[in-house]
Amino acid sequence: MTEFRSDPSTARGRYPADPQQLLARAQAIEALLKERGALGDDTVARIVAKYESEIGPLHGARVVARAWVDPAFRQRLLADASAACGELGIGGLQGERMVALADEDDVHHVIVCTLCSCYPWPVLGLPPGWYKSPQYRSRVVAEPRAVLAEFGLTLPDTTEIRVTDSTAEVRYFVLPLRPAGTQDLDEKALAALVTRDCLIGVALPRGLR
Amino acid sequence: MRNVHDVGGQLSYGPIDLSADDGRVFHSPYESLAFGLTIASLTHGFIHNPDEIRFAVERLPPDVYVRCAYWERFLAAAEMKLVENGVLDFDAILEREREANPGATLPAGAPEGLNDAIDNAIAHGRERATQLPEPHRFAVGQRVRTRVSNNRHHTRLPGYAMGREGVIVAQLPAFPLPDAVASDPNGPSEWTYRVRFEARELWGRDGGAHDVVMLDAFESYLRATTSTAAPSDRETP
Repeated sequence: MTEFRSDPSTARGRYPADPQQLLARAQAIEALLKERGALGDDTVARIVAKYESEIGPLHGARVVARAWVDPAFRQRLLADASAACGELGIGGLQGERMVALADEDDVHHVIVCTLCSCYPWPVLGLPPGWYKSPQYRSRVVAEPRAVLAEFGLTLPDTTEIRVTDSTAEVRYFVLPLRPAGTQDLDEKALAALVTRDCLIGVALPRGLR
Repeated sequence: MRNVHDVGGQLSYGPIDLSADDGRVFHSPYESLAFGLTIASLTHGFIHNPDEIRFAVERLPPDVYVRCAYWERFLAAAEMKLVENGVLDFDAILEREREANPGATLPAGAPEGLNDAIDNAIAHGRERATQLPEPHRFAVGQRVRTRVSNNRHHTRLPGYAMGREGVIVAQLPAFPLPDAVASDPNGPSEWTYRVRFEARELWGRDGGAHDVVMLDAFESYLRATTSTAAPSDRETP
């Protein structure tokens, strides 16, 4: 196995750099990969477009709303989230093995990746900067209530807060409780209540506090 | 005991900065390029698995890791792996970088089948779960203690959870062991488990009475708790 100290980084002394230098570096790598026939000139743009405009939290909101209105779907979601999301045409990279963590009256879930930035891409897209920051990654496991308070979320002292650290291949997202007073809303209206932060667990769907 | 990326439990980083959260995924052209290059390289097999990327990030010198932005670390790691895996030559990258317009003289179009392969990967993922001949060693409800090591290699057991006692709450699929496949793509796979730790077990009296941390652990990270001593790193395969 490669060891930390026996294999000094090839990047030593050249990072950090400013964004222009970084772009030149990335373009140099791109050009060399293209010359090897490993990249087309639209390959990167196609990948980026998917994650900038197609894959994002609206997918996760659809999943949650369906689980709220359809108990059988909810059961399938809790048994195998990737299969259930697949029923809605949602799936792919970093969501091959997803698990939905269902909040309960006295249990609240939060997700994190303390070691890097693991995140369920098919339902949430790529993570926001704060999710990848050392501030969030370091503190949410040790002082979850203080961290949630920074997001404006305060839970009763008696609520069990379960922080799930994504340390292997399963990707987690939170299935929040359906807010009170939403019995007349249809699935689409319910989905509009569900934000990215609700699926991370740092917020509750509007109407529930 | 901990390397620089292993930040879980540290309290010195201060408040979370939510001011830059505008919903956009990328904020500079190099960021999206770094991401796209890496996805393409993974699809192509130039980079074998995400563990290689993670380990490359972790091998950045600690001061570089701390000072670099997320996507900058990501770009550095992708570059490191493309060089280490023999795909690109480091001097050639530097030489090309010095040119005013590195991509000026490139052929049009995409290699046969590449865009389809990438579309397929994004839509359907890259399944890493495998089957093992032997069953899970630990059962749901069983108490386990995590191993202690000095992280000489890549590992996915965070420092804050080393030598701690928890309970298995779910048996999870077998996946390639990151400790091995971060540097050998043909390394073994192991069963994984979701393990529940009470906050007081992890943080002592500073842990919240109703707080819990769950994480996923590979089988070799765990021992049945028959003794109170933490298992030694030497016992692991």
